[in-house]
Formats: sequence, structure tokens, C-alpha cells
Amino acid sequence: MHIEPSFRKRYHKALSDTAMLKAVKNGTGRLRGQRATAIEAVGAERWMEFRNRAEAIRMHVIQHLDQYLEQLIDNVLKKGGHVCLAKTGEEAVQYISELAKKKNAKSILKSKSMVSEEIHLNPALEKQGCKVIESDLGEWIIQLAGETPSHIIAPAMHKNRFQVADLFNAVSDEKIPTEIADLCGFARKYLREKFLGIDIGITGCNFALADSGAITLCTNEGNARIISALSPTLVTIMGMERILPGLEELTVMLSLLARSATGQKLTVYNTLSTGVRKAEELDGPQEFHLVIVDNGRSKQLGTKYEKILNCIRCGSCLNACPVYRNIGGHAYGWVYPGPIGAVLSPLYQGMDKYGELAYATTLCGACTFACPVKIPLHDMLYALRNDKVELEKKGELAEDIAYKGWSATFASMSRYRFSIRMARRFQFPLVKAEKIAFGPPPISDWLKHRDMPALPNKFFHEIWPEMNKDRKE
Amino acid sequence: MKASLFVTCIADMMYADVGKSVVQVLRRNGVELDFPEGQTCCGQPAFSSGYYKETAIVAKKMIEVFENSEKVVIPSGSCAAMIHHGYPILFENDPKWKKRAEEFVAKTYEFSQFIVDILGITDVGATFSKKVTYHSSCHMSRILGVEEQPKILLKNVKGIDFIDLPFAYDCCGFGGTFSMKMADISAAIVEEKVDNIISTGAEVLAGSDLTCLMNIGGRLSRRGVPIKVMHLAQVLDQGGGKNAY
Repeated sequence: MHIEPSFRKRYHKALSDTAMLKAVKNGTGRLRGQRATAIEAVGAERWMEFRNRAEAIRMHVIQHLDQYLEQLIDNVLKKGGHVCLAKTGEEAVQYISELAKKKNAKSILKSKSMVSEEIHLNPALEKQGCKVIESDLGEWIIQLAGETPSHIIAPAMHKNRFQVADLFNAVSDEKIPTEIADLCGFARKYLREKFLGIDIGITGCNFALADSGAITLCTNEGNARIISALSPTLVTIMGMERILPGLEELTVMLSLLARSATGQKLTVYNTLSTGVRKAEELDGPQEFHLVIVDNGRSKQLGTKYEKILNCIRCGSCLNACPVYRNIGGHAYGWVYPGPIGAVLSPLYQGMDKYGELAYATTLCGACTFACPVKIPLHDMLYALRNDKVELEKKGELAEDIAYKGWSATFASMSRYRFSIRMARRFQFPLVKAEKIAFGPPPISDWLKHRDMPALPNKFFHEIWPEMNKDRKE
Repeated sequence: MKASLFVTCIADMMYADVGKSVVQVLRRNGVELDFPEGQTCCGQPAFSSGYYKETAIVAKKMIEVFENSEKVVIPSGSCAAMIHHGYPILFENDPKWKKRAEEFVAKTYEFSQFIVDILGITDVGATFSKKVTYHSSCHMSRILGVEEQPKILLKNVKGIDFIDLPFAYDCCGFGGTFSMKMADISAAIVEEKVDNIISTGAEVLAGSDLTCLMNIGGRLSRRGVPIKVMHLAQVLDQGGGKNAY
């Protein structure tokens, strides 16, 4: 995706896209409503127990990641699979591209994978002449539109059905009505034909189980399981942290993932597949490749940001975030939007490129409270800001000066009182009917949309002595 | 009971009337209040902008100012949350100041939390015959964990018609410097909040955090919506009889 030069430019574009914002507000509203109902059904206390257990499982895995990775790789190899441990996105892309060349692949079918978006897999495969088709409805919609996902679990959340109908009509011989059922019907018919004659299938991975080498896919449309059953060569791409010890832990995570993401008790299709097709089996791949992508993840191990690796990509922090709901996903500039993206993007891609995202939050904490695995997202956003200012010395000059001045003033009562008296004296040109409606930076932008009260004739510390005049102490 | 008032910089310089109401409500309910000299600000603006060193200089002063106080009362959920949540982070690697900060944390309460949890009072004897709705500030409800106390106090006000605010726990979009740095996103967020407030038909919006109220009130004012914005203390100060001071 083309990245606009700055976050400001991207979000201004978003703020003027009313159709997109309406779709995002509807979508997030529906998802968080469903999640709230699901939690109510479980009971707040039990939900907290769920979250505690899930957090403990994820922390245990991350703290023993090397062990579990080794176990997973052993088991995949034992069951006839191949493994690529890719340090960077480029390494992963190169591995899959070479495989496609070797197989002389023409038709590649994919099922939702955020990691493949992260490493820009599709353009690389298309460049070497492969036809890559996204098989999940949302992914296919944005593929037709030439866009990237705007939400972790609902990639086309930003589009309404009229826009979707336009996209479908561009590839259809007959006119598609704009009713949801008709649109789904067309997508089903169109995509099902593509499933026959797959050369290579590519899927994401919700969780890999270390003790069996099984890959878990959670989908509501079932397309991913068709791919894993029908592809002669199957490639699964996973972030290196997406491991669980075994089935017991998976049961906890599946139930938490579905409830957090969509409010379902369980996702419709939960597929576990292991290795290659055995002699007596009717379906499954003849060749299986697991591509485990690092791409900045291992850098977080042992740091104060380690818990970010606990993320199970449910998207509930996005739905809870007032900023996401009002600018949508594309404004964040990288594949992961919302609060999780505001932490992941600067950590994985660098502060220089995505440091601004640490400020794309009101620090309201709704994300942290929505997170099923209890990642302290808003604390991490504070920490990122602190890193930028104190570790990297990359605070803005005006702010550096302002806060130095602030601390010198506010550390002394007399300097503080003097400065606010001065402010009161010099506010006159701005005050009208006890309000301030315009002013110089940094409050000028604030005052575009709101009034500010003028400083009153008496400060509280000036009233306090009066309040004690008649009192006997 | 004795307590010290930490009025906060915003209340001191912009909302002196709120400070006055805090004093009156607490005195009426038997609290002997003092106002320690030297107090300025909890440090929240610098802390949330990442300037921990600058914050620590001011935070240390506040710890010293309230060193001899038995209890400290703050009419702001986010400033109380800053002390409870931010100070331990600030002094993480400074054992001496960490201990002093923890002592400060242990005796510091947000206004409604102090009345309900410490004084054990759920009805302060106020009368206010108006339709009132309440915005739950994020830092107060989520970070400090004070959610029910202000609503209990409001619901016990004589004559009040309390209406629940839809999406009360959604942020108002203030976010400190966020509302200046990303003013347009902030404006979109406060617009949702204001629409929700209007939908209740309330005459008064009450809250426990002056900066949220400044943001919401500022938007209501710009839109010309005649809903009055009041701090909880101002509502609880209504009809309480003679001035306590």
C-alpha cells in the first residue's frame, strides 16, 4: 500500500470520507455490542477469570518461545512438512516465491492472513506471473478495490454494500443487486469456481499447536478449510508468536477469541490440520510448508513491550477505540490499525516511520480493558512516548522547551501563581462573554471546534482565605 | 475527619467555583479541610506527553507538600489516577521516592470516592430538581476504578431526575494534548459524546473531571446547546442550606 507521508495527512483524508466513517461506525458498533452481550452472558467475574487464564497461557508461551518453536518445528517436520523460519518479511516472501516458481504455479488461492499483508506477499507473487485470489469475502472485496485491510477481523469494514456491489459488477457478466444476500451469493459462486484447479493454497494461522504441529484456522466462511483440503501444495504463514502448547490451551483461546472478536461462542469453522495427506486419506495437501515469520517480533522479547506478543488478533481494541472509530483503519498507515497498530507499527517498523501513532490515542484505556489477553496497550503508548522523548531524544523542539518551562514554573508555587496571574491579565483580547473562541497555537486548533472558558476574576487560591475568615480553627 | 484539599491546577485557575463547592460539601459533611501551600499540579500533562523527568520534578514537590496530610482529596478523577497510577511508574527506579510516592498514593482519594468510601456517606443532603446525566471519565472509571460512587451520590440528591447517558464510558476525546495535537479527531469524538448527551434530554451534564467537562462544555457552547455543565461537587452543593464557610 502506498503510505502517505504523514499520519496527519492520512487522518485528514479519513475524516472527510463520510461513507467510510459511517460504515466503520456501524461495523465497530455491531461488533462491540455483540461482544458486550457475550460477556454479559458469561458474567463479568467469569470473563475476568477467562482473561486471567488466557493472559497466563500467552505469557508462558512467550517466555518459553524458543522451546515451543523448537517443538513445533520438530513436529511439523515429523509429519512430513517443511519449515521456513524467516527472520524478515523479505526472507518469507522469497521462500514462497521460489516455491511458486518450482511448482510452476499459476493459480494461488489465499485465505485471510494479516502476516501476508505485513510482508507484501501478493504483489511479489503477482510480479512473477501468478494469479493470486483472496478467498475470504472481506479480503476479496478489498483485493478487487486494490486496498489493504482496514480492520483485523473485518478487512472490508470500511465499505458499504453499494460500494461492494460496484466492485462485484466490475468482474461480473450480469448485474448484481445491492442486497447482502445477492452479494454473498455472487461471491460464493464466483469463488467456488476458483477453488478447482488450485496450484498452491496459502492460509494464515490463528494458532499453531507445539505438541502436535497442528495448525488452527478459525473462520466463519469456511473458505480456509477448503483451501487446506484441496491445495496440492499448502503454505501456512504465521507470526512466530502464534503458538500454544496444545489442545487444552487452545480450548481457552478459541472461546475467548470468538467472544472478543464477534461475540460468538465459537467461530463457525475451527479447523485443525496437521502435516501432509497420508496414503489412506482423501484430502489434504501432498506438500506442506510452514513459514514462521519473525519480522521484528523477537526484538520485543525481554523488553517492557514483550506482552505485545500476547496478541491474538481479535480486533476488540479497535472496536473499543474512539480514535479508530472516527478515522478507520487505513489512516494508521500499516497493516495493523487501532491501538494494537499504534503499538506494533512503531515497535516493528521503527519510531521514525510510525512514532506519530503513539500520539494517536486519547489514552482513555478502553483498549486495555477490551483486550482479552490483558495487554496493557495504553501503558505501552505512554512508554512509547517516553522512549521517543527520553531514550531517542526525538521530542519536538517546541514541546521540549514547553515542558522544561512547565516543570520550572509548576515546581514552585510562587512562579505558578505569578504565571497564571500574567495569563489572566493578558487574555483580554481573546475574551468575549467570559469565553475564548479563538487564539494562537497551540490552542488555535482546539478553538476551531470548541469554546474555552476565560480565566476567572479570582483563582481558587485567592478565594480560599475568604472562605476561612469567619471560621474558628 | 481531617483532610487536605489538592484543588488541581485546572480547578484553581479555571474553575474556582468548583473548588468552592468541594469545600462547602465536605465541610457540611464534617470534614475539617486545609489547603496546603505550595500545591500546583499533579504532573499529568507532562507525564502523558512522555516527559517523565520534568514530571518527576513537579511530582516530588507535591509529595513534599502533602507529606503531613492525613488524607488528600482531589476533585478530579484523572489527577487522582495520575497519582495512583503514574507516580509509581515515575519513581520505579528510585526506592526512596518510590516509598514516599506510595505513602502519598495510599492517602489520596478522588472527591466522590472520599465521600462514599471514607466518610461512608451516600447522601450529602443536597436538593436539585433537574434532569441530570453523568459522563464517566475514562481515567477515573478505568484507571482509578471509581465508577459507582459519583452515581450513588447523584441518585440520592433530593428532587433529581437522573438519566443514564448512552455510552457513558466512551471517551469524550479530550486526552490532554491529544485535543490540541489532533484537534480534528478529538472534535469528531466529542461530537459523538455531545450527541449522546443531547439524546438524554438532560438539562445538566455532571462529571468528575474538569478537563473532560471543559472539552464537552466547550463543544456544547460552540454548538449553542443550552445544557449546563457542572462538576459533581457543584451539583452536590445545591440546596444544601447556608454556606458552610
